[in-house]
Order: sequence, then C-alpha cells, then structure tokens
Amino acid sequence: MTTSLRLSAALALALAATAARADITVGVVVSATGPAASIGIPEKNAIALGPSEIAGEKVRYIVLDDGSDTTTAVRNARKLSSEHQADIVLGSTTVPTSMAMIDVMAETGTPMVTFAPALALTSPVDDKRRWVFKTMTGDDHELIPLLAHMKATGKQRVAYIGFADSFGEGWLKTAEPMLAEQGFTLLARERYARTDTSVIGQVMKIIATRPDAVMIGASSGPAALPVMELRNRGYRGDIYLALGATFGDFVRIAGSKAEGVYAPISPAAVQADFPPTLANRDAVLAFVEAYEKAYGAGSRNMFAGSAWDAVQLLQQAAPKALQQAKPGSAEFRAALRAQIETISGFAGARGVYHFSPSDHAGLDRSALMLGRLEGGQWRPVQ
Amino acid sequence: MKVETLVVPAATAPARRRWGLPLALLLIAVLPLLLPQFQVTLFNYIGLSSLVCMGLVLLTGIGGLTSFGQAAFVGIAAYLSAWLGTAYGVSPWLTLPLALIVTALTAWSGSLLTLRLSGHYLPLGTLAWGISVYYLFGNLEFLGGHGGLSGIPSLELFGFELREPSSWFWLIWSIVLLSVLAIRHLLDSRPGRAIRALKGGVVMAESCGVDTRHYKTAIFILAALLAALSGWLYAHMQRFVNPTPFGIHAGIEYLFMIVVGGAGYVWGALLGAALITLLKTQLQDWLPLLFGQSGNFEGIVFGVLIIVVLLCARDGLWPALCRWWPWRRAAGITVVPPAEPLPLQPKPARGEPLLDVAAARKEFGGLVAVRDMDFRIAAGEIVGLLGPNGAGKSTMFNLISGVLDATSGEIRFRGERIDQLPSREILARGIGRTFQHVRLIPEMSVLENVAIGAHSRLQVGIGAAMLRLDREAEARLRHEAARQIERVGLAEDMHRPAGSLSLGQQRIVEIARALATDPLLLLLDEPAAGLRHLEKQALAEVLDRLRGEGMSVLIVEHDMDFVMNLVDRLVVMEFGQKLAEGLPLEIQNNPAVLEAYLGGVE
Amino acid sequence: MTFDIAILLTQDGLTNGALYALLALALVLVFAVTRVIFIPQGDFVVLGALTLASLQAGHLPPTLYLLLALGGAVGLIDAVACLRSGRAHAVGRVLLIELGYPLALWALCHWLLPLSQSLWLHALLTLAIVVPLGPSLYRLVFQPLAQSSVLVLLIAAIAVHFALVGLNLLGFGPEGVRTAAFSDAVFEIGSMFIASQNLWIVLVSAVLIVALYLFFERALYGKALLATAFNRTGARLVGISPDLAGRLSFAVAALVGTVAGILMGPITTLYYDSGFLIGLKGFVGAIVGGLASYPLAAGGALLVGLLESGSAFYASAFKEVIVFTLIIPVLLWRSLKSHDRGSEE
Repeated sequence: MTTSLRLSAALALALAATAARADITVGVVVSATGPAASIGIPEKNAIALGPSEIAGEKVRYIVLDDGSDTTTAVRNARKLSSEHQADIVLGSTTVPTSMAMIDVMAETGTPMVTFAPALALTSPVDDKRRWVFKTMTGDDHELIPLLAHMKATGKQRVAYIGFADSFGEGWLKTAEPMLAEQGFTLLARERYARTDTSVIGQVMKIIATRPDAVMIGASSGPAALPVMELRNRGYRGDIYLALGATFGDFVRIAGSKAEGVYAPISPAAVQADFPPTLANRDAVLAFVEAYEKAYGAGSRNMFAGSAWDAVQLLQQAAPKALQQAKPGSAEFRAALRAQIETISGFAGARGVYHFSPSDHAGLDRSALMLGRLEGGQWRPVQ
Repeated sequence: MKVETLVVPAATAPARRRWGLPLALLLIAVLPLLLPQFQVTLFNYIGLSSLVCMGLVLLTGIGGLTSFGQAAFVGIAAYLSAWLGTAYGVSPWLTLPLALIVTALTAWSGSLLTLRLSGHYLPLGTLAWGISVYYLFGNLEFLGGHGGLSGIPSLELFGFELREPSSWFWLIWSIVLLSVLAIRHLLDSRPGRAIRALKGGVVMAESCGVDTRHYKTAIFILAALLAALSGWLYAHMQRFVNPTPFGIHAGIEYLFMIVVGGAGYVWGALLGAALITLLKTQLQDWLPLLFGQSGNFEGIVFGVLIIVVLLCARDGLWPALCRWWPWRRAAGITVVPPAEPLPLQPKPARGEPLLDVAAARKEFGGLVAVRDMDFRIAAGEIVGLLGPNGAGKSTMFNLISGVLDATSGEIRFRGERIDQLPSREILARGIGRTFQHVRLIPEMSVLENVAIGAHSRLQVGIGAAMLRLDREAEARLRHEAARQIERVGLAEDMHRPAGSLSLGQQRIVEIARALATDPLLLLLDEPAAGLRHLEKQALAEVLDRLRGEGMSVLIVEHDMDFVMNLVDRLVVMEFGQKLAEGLPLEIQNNPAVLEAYLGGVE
Repeated sequence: MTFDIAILLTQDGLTNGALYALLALALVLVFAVTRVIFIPQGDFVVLGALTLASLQAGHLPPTLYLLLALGGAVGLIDAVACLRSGRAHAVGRVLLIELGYPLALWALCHWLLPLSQSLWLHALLTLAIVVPLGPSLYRLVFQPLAQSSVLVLLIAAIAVHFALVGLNLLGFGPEGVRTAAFSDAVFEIGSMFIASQNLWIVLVSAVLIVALYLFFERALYGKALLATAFNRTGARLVGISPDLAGRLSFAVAALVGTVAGILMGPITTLYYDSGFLIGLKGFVGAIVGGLASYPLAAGGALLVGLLESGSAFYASAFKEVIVFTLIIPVLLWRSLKSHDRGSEE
C-alpha cells in the first residue's frame, strides 16, 4: 500500500510540478507489466525508496512502465528526455527494452543505468554505450560459480533447457563458449515457454543423453516446471539454475522436488548469514533493512537491489556533478555521466562496483556466489 | 440522352476539398516545429500505425476480409531491412523495394491458401500465422533471436541523416498523406467500386463482371505493402528490432484501432491509431492511480472500451464524429459531366435465337430440383418463368446465370454452351441479372452501385486509379451509370445512398445495374416479390419501357398477375418440370396451371 | 527415440490432446449456436485453476467479486428491460436471481472454507463460481450483438479475452499456481508408469466429450439448440429462444473450460495469461474439424497434443511454430476441396 501511495504522490507531484525546474529529474523505465512484470515491480519499489533530496537539490522521480515492449520503452525514453528533461534515466528491466533505449539516450546525451543483465548493453564502450551503465550481474557472473562447482565435482556431460525468449537465449549464448573453454560437452539445447504446460518432450530428450548435470536457463516460478519433470522422470543428477530462479515462486511451486539444486545467489536476495568478510556486507544490510521495512519481511530480492544501487550511484555522482552544472542542462547530464564513470570500489547492495572509461559493467565477479536449496532455503555453498 | 439535366452543382464539397490538401501540407510542415519533441515522437508512432491501419481498413472494413496478421507483415519488412542493413551494410533505400517485394510475395502465397475459403478461416489462419511468425523471428539465429538486432543504419535523405523526431515526422506524415490520397483515389474508381462490392457478396460482384479473387488478392497484398512500408520506417527510426512489436498482440491492436476509429473509413484508420496510441500513453499515468498498483490493466480498459464501442457505435467513432460535425453533413453532390459513351456489344437481330435450354437437370443429392427443362428465348422477346414456390424456378435461374452447374443437359446462349461456365463468363457473353434479395451496397450512392455494373466494359488498373490516371475512363463509367439510371427513371435519387431507397426503388436500381453491363438478355429474379401495389406499377413501367427498346428479358416470378400483361410468352414450372408453355392468355386458361396455382378449381 | 520415450510422449500428447479436444468441442458448439469464435475459452481454464487454488489456500477467490459485478450488471440491464416492457413485477425476481446467487455463494464459501479441506468440495465451489460467468458474459456482451457479423463477434470475443486476462492479473496476481492433485497414485503397467492424474484427465475428457456429443447429436433439445444456429427466426417459431440457446452454449463452454482448468491444475503451473495459447491450441483442433464436425475437431485436437509433445522432443525451440503452422496444410486441403464459386457465407 505504501508503495502505491508513494508512487501516486510522485506522479501527482510530477504532474503538478512542470514549471518548477531546478530539481534533479530521475526518469525511470521499468517493465511493470507484461512478461517481465514480476521483475519490474520490485525494481520500481526500490526506486520509490530513493532519497527525495541529494546535496540540497530536490529529486523528482518519473516512473514509466514499458510493458516489456521495446516500442513503448523507446517512447518512454523520448518522453523522459524531451518532456521531462530527465537528467538520468534508470532502467529498463529487460535486455531488449534496454537495448532499444540506448540510441535515444546517446542522441540526447543522457546517462542511463540499466537493470538488465546482458554484457552487450555496456560493452564495448563505444560512442553510444559510453552513456550506458549497469547494476545487474551478467550471465557470465552467474555462470562462473556454477561452472566452478561442476568442474570441482567432476561433471563432463551437460544438458541445457531454458526459456524460449531473450532471457534463455542470452544465458545459453554466454554459457556455450564458457562450457567449451572449460572442456564440458553440451549435449542438448532445449527450449520451453514460460506459460508452457508440459516439458515432457524436452526432459525426455535430455534424459536420453545421460547428462552428468542439467543447466536451466529460466527464472522464477516457470523455472520449476523442468526441475519437477526431471525429478519425476527419475533424473538424479545435479541441476544448476539461473540466478532468476532464486527469485519469486520457484521454491513454492517446485516444493520438495527442488531440494538440492544449485543456483548462483546474490547476498542482497538471500536470507542467510554471510561471512563478515563479505566486502559489501554493510551495503546489503542497509538495503535489506530499508526494503523490508517498506515491503515486508522476506521481500528482499536482487532486482530491487540493482535498482537500489542505481540510485546509490546517482547519489555518489550527483554532488560532484552539481558543482559543475545545473540540473536540467546538457552539461549536468554530461558531468553526471563522467562522474559515474569515475566510481570505483563503491560497495552497493549487489556487490562492489568498478567503473572505468573502458568498463561500464561495473560489478566485479565476486558479486554472486554458489547457493544450494536446502530445506526450502538458499544456502551459500562453501 | 440529356444527361446534362442530371447535374446538380454543389457548393460545399469541392470548396472543402480545395482547402484540405494545402491545410494538411501546412500542418505537416509546421506541427513538428510547434509541438514538444515527445509529442512529435508520439505522432510518428501514430503515423506508423496509421499506415498499417489504412491497409486494414481497405482489407477488413471495406473488403470484408479480417486479418490478425498485419503485424507479421510489418515485422517481415522491418526484419529484412534490419538484417540486410546490419549484416551486409545494404542501404535502406535498396532494402525498401526488397522489403516490399518479399512482403508482397508472402502475402500473395498466403492469399492462395486462405482467400478461397469463406469468412472465418482468414481471421483464424492469420491468427495462427501471426503467432508462428513471432516465434520464428525469436528463434532464427541470424535475426538476433529474441534479443533482436541493434545498430540498424538510420535513413539518409538528400545527404541529410534523419535523426531528430521532427525530420521523421515530415517523412512519415508525407507518406501517410500520400497513402491517404492514393487510397481515397482508389476507392473512388472502377477497381475501388469492385473492392467495395466484395462486401455485397461474391455472387453479386461476379455477376457484374468483377473478378473477386483478383481483387481480394489485390487488397490483401496492398494491405501487406502498407504494413511493410510501416515496418521499414519503424526499423530505421527505432534502429532496433526484436520480435515483441510484431507479435499477435500487435496484430490484434491494429484491428482494435480500426474498430474504434471506424473500420469502413480511411480517416477512421488515422483516428483509431491516434486514439489508441494516445490512450495507451495516458493510461500508463492514470491506471496506477486507479488500481493502486501496476499491472497489465490496459487490457481491462481496452477490452471494455472495445465492447462499449461495439455496443454503442458499431461502425466506429469516425462516422459518429461526422454526424456530430455540422458541416460534414452537407454531402457534396458531384457533377456527372457528359463523356464519350462506353463501347457496346453488337446487338442481335430481332427474332434471332438467344437462349436455348435443352433437357437441363439439376440434382442435389437425391433431390431433383430441375427435371429436364426445355425452353427458348429469341432476341427482343420477353418471357416469364412462372411457378409456385418451390417449383424450381430459382434453381433454373441459377443454372442460367452460372451460380450453379447443371447436372446434365445443355444451356446454350447464341449457340455457345454456357452451362458449365462461371457467372463472370456468362456475363461477358451478354447475360445480365438482378437478385431477388436485393444486393446493393447500401452505403454507396445509387450512381456508384450502378457503375459497378459497367465494371467489365472498361479496364482501369489499381495503380492507375491510385495515381488518378483514370479520370477519363472514370467519367465515361459514371456517365454510363447516370445514363442507365435515367433510363429506369431514378435520376433524382442518383446521389442518395442506395440503402436509403425503398425496396421497389432498390429493385429498379438493380435493373439499372444489370443494364449497365450492356446485356443482350436480362434475367430478373422475382422483381415484384415483396413490393407494394404502387411500386409494382413503377416496376411494370420500367419493364414496359425496356420492351419498347427491344430488350430481351427472362422474368422469373410467382406473381401471375404481375407478368401477365408484361410478357410475350410464359413458361410454367412445377415440381422442377415444365408444366405448360404458351401465350399469357393460353396459360391463364390452362387447367393444369390453375390446378397448380389455386390447388384445384371448383 | 526408444520405445519408452515414445510411450511417454504419446501419453503426454494424449493427455494434453484430450484437454484440447474438450476445448475444441466447446468452441465448435459456441460457434455453431452463436457464431462467436470464443477466444476467451482458454481464459476459463485459467479462471477455473486459479479459483480452485485460491480456495485450496483458504482464500475467498476474487472471481466471486467478478461474479457479483457481472451479476449486478446483468440484473440492472434485465431490470431496466423489465421496466421498459411494463413488467415491473418481474424486477424483483430478476435482481434476486442475479444478485442473490453470488451473494449466497459468497456466504457459502465463507461458511464452508474453514470447515472443510475437501478437494471435491473445492472443485464444486469452483464450478459454482466460474460457470455462471459464461452466461453472464453472453448476456452482457454477445446477446446485444447477436445480429452482427462473425467479425464483430470475434472482435468482441477478443476484447473479452483482454479484459479477463487483466482481471485475472488484478485478482490473482502474476504468480503461477499449481493445485493439489486429486490423487498421487502412479500405476505401473509393464515397463511404463501412468500417473493417475493423467488417467483422470483422459477419462473425464472422454466422458464429457461423449456426453456433449450425445446431447447435441441425439437428444431432441440439443438438436433444437443447434438449429438456432442455422435459422434464428425459425428457432423462435418452434419455441426456442436464441438468447436462451446462446446463454446455454456459453454455460457449457464455461463448464468445459473450468473442468479443464481443475484437471490441468495439478499437472502444470498456470499463470494469469496462460489461457490464450491453451485456447488457441483447442482452436487449431477445431479448425481441423472445420468448426463444424465434432469428431474431426476432437481428432484434430488430439493431433495437436501429439504434435506438441513430439516437437517438444525433436525441436523444442520451434514447437509453437510447428503447432500453429499445422493450420496451413489444413487450410490448403480445405481450400483445394472448396468449390471455387457460388456459396456465400
């Protein structure tokens, strides 16, 4: 309820305050509806917790929904930069929607911090991508702990099943060269849709290849379907899931069938005791405390963490940028961009960020660790 | 012929037309300079949707063929141009013709599959096609899969790269304006009337010499081409493509746009595209306030909105708006200037044998509807085919007019066998017909309806019509139609919508339409059925005049009194067989006929 | 592919195919009686499953409020119609039925939910809640449009689908549900295992299919209902109200959809928007049957199910492409068979 109130208030303010224009305007594009809605909504929730003032300047948030649709995302990006003169744009949720916004951001010279995973969004840092930063771990971050565990436990033959969309595709594309490099054999590449009612065909094909491990490029509740089917069909080997499976309904839907599966976990998302050596422990705790205070116990998740961090980065960069130019100007946007690029060693909820003129992906590789589902809880694996 | 007397000069309409184009040009030139950038962007998207919707209006609203697959055509063109541009660096100006050709070929092969089938198969087929094309885009590696293709080159025009929304506005809206003009030109032409006639049913259109398959295919391809144009613009404006904007939901949305705007009106396409696009942007701001959270609630609003539109303004908002707008109501009455008459078929000499029905037989399963009928009609003769209900008259009529094929026997026209020919071929040989259940296009004027009849007497291509290269031919067609309307005595109602006439007048319009086909033999299917006494009298006068002109006519009727004074000869049918044949007086006193009609004489 | 896999795939294909067949029959029926191409058929599947899940979780399902809202709207329209036609005395009865039923059901749910965890009770309540939505929708949307073209009705059906998906999301949220199974038993026949839930699905579907078939092909009243499709005025003359026939066919469609949802709930996860594709697959089956023939439609739907599980095995990325392109050869075949000219719609 508080979110909607805050949002309504933000919207009302946005509608009312069109003339008063010295504030910092933060444009936000999330996929609050459509297939990626369950991810976009927590992102929006985290943004709603953002500060109302940075270095004495009022901050105005304008949150738009792109419905997981690229055309709308671009339209929103235009709306934010031309109608609201946004100083920075945060979002969007999915890879295609973020990808589609890059052109507008580069054209209008507006820095953008996306919450989408693909490395291609920020790399290579060229004329356009110099405006783009990201706070989401990439598919490569996810695969590193998984592959390390597979290697350590002597797996050889691997099968893959994942979403028939940009998510599953991105995961597989990142995984293929990494698997080949480390000497794994990829036996099957199967797809299924989020709303599919049966994956027996795909699962039978996977089982027929007799894999040592099955990787599942799927997220949230729909990731449960292949796990359950694999177990129902007698597969006893290890299952490795994407980070997205540690979010949402996966555990509730898969139930006991999911016991013992592996997935990369983010300290920002999992209720577990992390070692005090964790570099960003304090940042995680701060995020969790603020977020769960607003949205209830156990509501923490990595998507909200990424959006939270995007606001944190703004909070880091804005004071210095304010010394160089006034908000609402092209100079301020350029200064903001330049300042974000200099952030290095900053600990956020999702990990430690190291930006540089040649690296806008930010998060270092320790941002994710291996987790295992035990008794319905994700536990870090040492 | 004193056609000039028909002319009623109108003041309002041409004046408005003269202002319309410069005003539109001015708006296109000035708007992007006045509006904030985001509004300009919105207008660009409206323009892109308008292009697709215009095609859909032509296809669905006017042609009566429903397609959910237009978004897929947009996608094919967008992806083709994007792929060639990113993978091979092909210039957008080269990919444009390619995209159009590939889309046209796809549409053409699709039309081969679906257009023969009746009504609901096309929407369902396109629904399935829209879904499979979406998944195909998402799974083809070279098209970037679900992630899509980015870095598509922008357009260059006269060495100037289109970057700003305003420069796109000028390009997109110029194209929209040209398309509006082209489609309006097309609709007001010979091929356009043929397309509008499709809604009146295949049988009627074919009986006027319209090749319905050809025109259905043509509008299917035309609609796909407009969609392709939109897709090509989209790819280079957005500079990024992925499958979502081309999925089945986009296809449905285009259809929603025209339903809301007005499916039968070119302007309805623009109105609908604008309303839905603006509504979508506004709903984003309002719905979270209403529901207190975000969700896919647009669907609720759109769903309910469409239902309300269907319930309250079934033809969409454009016609409703027109009724509201006072100056719109002053319907322009255009002048029908004299023009060179259309070519005529050489007329047979009076008494020359025309139609020869020999042992014609039609069976439906086990039922024999027409049992070995024989009769003849000579040139200049008026023959009545009489019989009680269910005697097989209509079946006999359909055999002659080519709607049905005879099971056995022969029907010859001027010595040539016609019993296995389709109705269009039969018309070409000089047999015109009317329908018992009037088949006029109610919203078209009487003049336009009759001009459909003259369709096969002059060739005008779709391209020529769009480019307005057809004005001379059009003037001749309209003049011919006006001449036929005067011939049947309806000159005063020439510019009224056919649907506003009484049933009797509509029957007479049908006769005028049949006359416009330049027939040697006129087939009238129960012309007096359902008419009031005065209407019957008017009809009889028209027929009398035709007799005076030497027209050969076959009237199928069950009203004996009506035909008695009109015909030279009568053929009476009962139970599919010929019961009697002879002069009206003979028939009147034939006991067998009386028996059949009155159920026995006391 | 080994024999075991083939058996499993066939079993999976037949289970889904049976459900599609059930939907296909409802689609054919609705089309035959009302000429509506009932796109929201799949949404009723989802409504059924989501309502059941929410009852099993001990909540009052939001569908109750939808039922109340639709009932109120129908009551209002009918009451106004009564007043206009001077039958003021009927107003009370109309309102009592349209509003009383949902309110009584609401009270019943309130009372029963804490008392019993019985699966059967929940299933019955689900039917009682969801099935009346069908006739209400017909009364509100399709009855006033009854004289319109197939196209207008189709667009109205799609509009209803959009509204239902949105309402599902509003009421149930984006999370998927999986309901408790009717029985967890697994039978072993030779070397293969058959989950009893799958047997349930095939059995219930078969029974419903046969019942529908018998009713509409054999029973006089069923035949009369179908006759309204061909001749509305004629049907009125022999004493069948087309409105009643329409409502009844929508009730059957809602019943079939809900039963399919209840059956499907335990074997898969259903989301608020799962209905569209499920319904469309039923459609592909119905199109194979030319939207007219019950046995062909059922056969077509089984074919869709088998094709789906087969393509999931062989080329999972192209599964939807394959299933939906099945329509093309069917259309081609129908197109070659069709008489080139003559018949009008």
